[in-house]
Amino acid sequence: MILERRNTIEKKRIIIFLTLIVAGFLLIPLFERGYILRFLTFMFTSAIISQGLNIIGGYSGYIPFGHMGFFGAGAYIVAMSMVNHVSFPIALLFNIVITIIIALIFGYPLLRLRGAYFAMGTIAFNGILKEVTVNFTKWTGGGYGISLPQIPWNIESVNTFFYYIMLGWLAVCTIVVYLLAKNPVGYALRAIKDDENAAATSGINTSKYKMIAWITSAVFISVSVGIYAYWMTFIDTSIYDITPLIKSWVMLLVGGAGTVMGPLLGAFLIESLSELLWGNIIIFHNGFLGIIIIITILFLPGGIIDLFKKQFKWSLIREEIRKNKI
Amino acid sequence: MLQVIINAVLLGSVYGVMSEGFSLMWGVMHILNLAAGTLIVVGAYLSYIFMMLLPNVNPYFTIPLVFFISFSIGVVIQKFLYNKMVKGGLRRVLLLTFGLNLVITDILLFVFKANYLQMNVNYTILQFKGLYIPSHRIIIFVISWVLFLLTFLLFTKTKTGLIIRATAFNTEAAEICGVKTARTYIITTGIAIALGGVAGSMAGTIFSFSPAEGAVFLAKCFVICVIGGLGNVTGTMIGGLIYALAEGVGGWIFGTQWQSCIGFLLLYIVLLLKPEGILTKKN
Amino acid sequence: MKKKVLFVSLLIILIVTLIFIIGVNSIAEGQKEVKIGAAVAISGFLAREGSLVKEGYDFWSEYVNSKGGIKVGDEYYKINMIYYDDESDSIKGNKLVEKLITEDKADVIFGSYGSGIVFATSAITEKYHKLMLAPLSTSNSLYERGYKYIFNPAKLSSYNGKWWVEYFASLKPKPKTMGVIVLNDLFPLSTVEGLKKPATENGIEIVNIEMFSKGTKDFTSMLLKIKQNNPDIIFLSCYFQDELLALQQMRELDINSKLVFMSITPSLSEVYTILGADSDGIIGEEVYNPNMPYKDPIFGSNKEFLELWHKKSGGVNPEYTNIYGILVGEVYQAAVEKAGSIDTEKVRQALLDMDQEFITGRVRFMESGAPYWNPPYPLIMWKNGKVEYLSPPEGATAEPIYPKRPWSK
Repeated sequence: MILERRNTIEKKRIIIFLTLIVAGFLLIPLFERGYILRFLTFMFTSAIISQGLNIIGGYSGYIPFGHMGFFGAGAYIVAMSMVNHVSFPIALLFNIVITIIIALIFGYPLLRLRGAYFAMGTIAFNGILKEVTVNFTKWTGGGYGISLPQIPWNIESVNTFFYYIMLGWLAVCTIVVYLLAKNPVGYALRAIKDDENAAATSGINTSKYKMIAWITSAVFISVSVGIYAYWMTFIDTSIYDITPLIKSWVMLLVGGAGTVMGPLLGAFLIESLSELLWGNIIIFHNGFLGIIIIITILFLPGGIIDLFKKQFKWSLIREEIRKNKI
Repeated sequence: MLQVIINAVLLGSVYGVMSEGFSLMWGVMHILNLAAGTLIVVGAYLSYIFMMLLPNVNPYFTIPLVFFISFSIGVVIQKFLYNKMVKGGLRRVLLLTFGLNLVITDILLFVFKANYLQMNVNYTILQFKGLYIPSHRIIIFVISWVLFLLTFLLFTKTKTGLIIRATAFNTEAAEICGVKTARTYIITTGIAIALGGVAGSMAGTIFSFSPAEGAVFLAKCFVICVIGGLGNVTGTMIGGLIYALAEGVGGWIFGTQWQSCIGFLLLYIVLLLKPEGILTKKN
Repeated sequence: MKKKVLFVSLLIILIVTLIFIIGVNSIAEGQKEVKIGAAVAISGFLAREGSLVKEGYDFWSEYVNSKGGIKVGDEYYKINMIYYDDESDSIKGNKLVEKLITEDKADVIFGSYGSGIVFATSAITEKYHKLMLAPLSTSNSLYERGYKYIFNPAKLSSYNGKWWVEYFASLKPKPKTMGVIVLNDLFPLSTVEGLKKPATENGIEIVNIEMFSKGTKDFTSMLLKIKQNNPDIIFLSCYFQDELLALQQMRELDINSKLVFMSITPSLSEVYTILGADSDGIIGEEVYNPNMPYKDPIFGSNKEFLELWHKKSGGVNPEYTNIYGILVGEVYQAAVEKAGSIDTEKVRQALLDMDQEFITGRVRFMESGAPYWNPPYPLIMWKNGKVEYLSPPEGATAEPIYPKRPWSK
């Protein structure tokens, strides 16, 4: 969306800027093999999740609060496959296929709900998946969790491997979002977000587009968490916890929902902040995160990406804040 | 089996009152208060403090105090925080309430540490044809329904209640009639948190609580409010009963490890078939 | 627009630089130190236990530092404890342990409370060939993976199972049936697993295993199902808040048994404040008996340790989580002093060779890192509002109240 409003020269500048950044990221593993690489890989994972939320929440306006169900699906499908000696790429393929099936099954009924009901419906969805995972102990390990096979290379190579894979998937997801945004699909989604009834009346097949958004976001997320599971070599039912999802939401909002680059920016800022806080404040770190969330929502309702927009003015922000009050 | 049902009904009534606050805030202001669970636990802690300070007073008598303090907390939160974002859209509201929840949970953790506390009340067990009913569960059952009745009367018979309902129904029309929306919201949240806080105190006499328990209560609120109907006072109360019964009876029939799953399934089914709640009329 | 982009880019560069600075650890000048990394649960559902373990670690490290530090060869090394909060989450724990090893350059990792998290984080330490000393991760599955670098001095769940069942079988008249309530989580589940074989061997039949998930607040169905079989023993395998609820509901539903057993933290005062005289006869698992006359290389003896602890805590007794935090520190220290170095392989060998008495008794490790089977272990029982010790015999302060009196009406 930002890109559409620039003229060609500005566009060229942005492309050069982005290429430099991408090149930078590609080259980092040559200099750093340890902590920074892992930190960035984790940041990419969060960014992908935010991007997934972006499609369904930012663009379509449907807020799922139970998307962790797909975290679980991704992690467990990959884990269960690999424990049964399926190779990693094939496991990811299984993951995509099964995720699409799950998304279809639950999507049909869920997408008929609106607003807060949709949010709660997704929580039920997550709850059901979680309880099923916990109780079918023979298959999923239940409370015991699953240990994935370890890659027999040295640490640095493993880090680099996952760094590139996650970066690659992030690139894929971002490009998909960019294309979607410019495509009729993106237009339809934005119409749905603004006023679904009007959109339907004007002939847009809202169900079809919502389902596309839902499935796409599900696949983004489950694949990235599947990769994450392999990287961590251990998963258990704590993957269904809501906190990482909330963090991704915060990243999305802080960065700027409904934009292509918003989630990435948000992921970068929040992850960095998180790391700084975590390392140095052992008590109350959740509380601090809460305070940051509150401050961001109150004072920067459109996200930090607003600062990049051409028409940025503090007065506009003030106007936005005033609109939200009572 | 009858025992299971009775226990579920007794417990479900407390669940109902607990969820009323959440339901109210949604129905009137479209705020999904993710901090509700933790605020319920705050009620329990308040009761506990009173129990420590006034050891000779029966915990039940401190309930009005808890009500008053929780009400004030609700007022402060709405006035200084939620009112600033109430028109900002679901996303922002949810995150705001979540942020608040994090802060309150950490404050509780800091002050009270992570110990599990519980308030002890003396009770006798009434026996009737092989069924056991402890008196303290009956007392909180009664208190729950009294609170429900008072809330119901508040909303149907008093001026304040009518104002709140009018605002919920049509904010602009109400404002034209001279209603100050901001102030109405503040009172609504006050009542909502107060109900939650008292429910917390009551719950604290039958099981133990800690700062993290808020999440458990919040999860139950969600399910119960959807079943009963967000914003529907009677519905939410009945929803509490239905939820407790589904868990108890479901657990009895299918095995207790499925107890929580049944709760979620119920939520899911209700959302699919009648999202506005079992008892709400479609408008 | 250019100004804004510049501003934000500068902000971003600033943040990145900050991360680099903080991410890279500064090396302290002066005295040599041993860096001990620990990711413990400060928040989340194991927050209480995690904080108590940390208390134990701190008590040990502060005491040792006040005496000059750990003796490594001819020098004294200061202990530098580096803590992170794993929020009771294994996935976070993994991340943090990896950070402790690679970024903070920890020499050794002290474990988190709870088998689930340690199961995951020990895979990380194994990967990096760093030692992990875990205070209370007692699920057998942790030690069946062929790992070399994990050590735990607390008795395994299977030992628990064997020891408890043998104790039950020794009571007269011998109980014949047992009903179990268990939480669907790694440690409670493996506890129950550990009961099955010894129960069969000792002629006790497990007639109920009722499982529940976290968040359940109504045990009526479970308890009524158990009541149908009226077992001689009711065995609780879940965390404290659920144990307390189960006990209360047992009283409310008049479900009596000859023996009630709490397998986790039975000695918390809430048991008496809530149940009153009905708490008499409740038997529970304990890992430490303060009445035992053990010698200890760091504190001198069990008695002297307790005096020190009481001085610091103002008379409050240590909990088992404190004790095992301290024990982990002591065991590590003893191994380092014996090895004369903090090198992982040398310390590991010293741990494998260890056969010494500490505040909890004899500590000896098997190749897998698990401790040897070494009964009798401590058992407690509530009596008149106090926690009495039934075992080991030299430290016993009371006889078991068996059968347990029925709940008061």
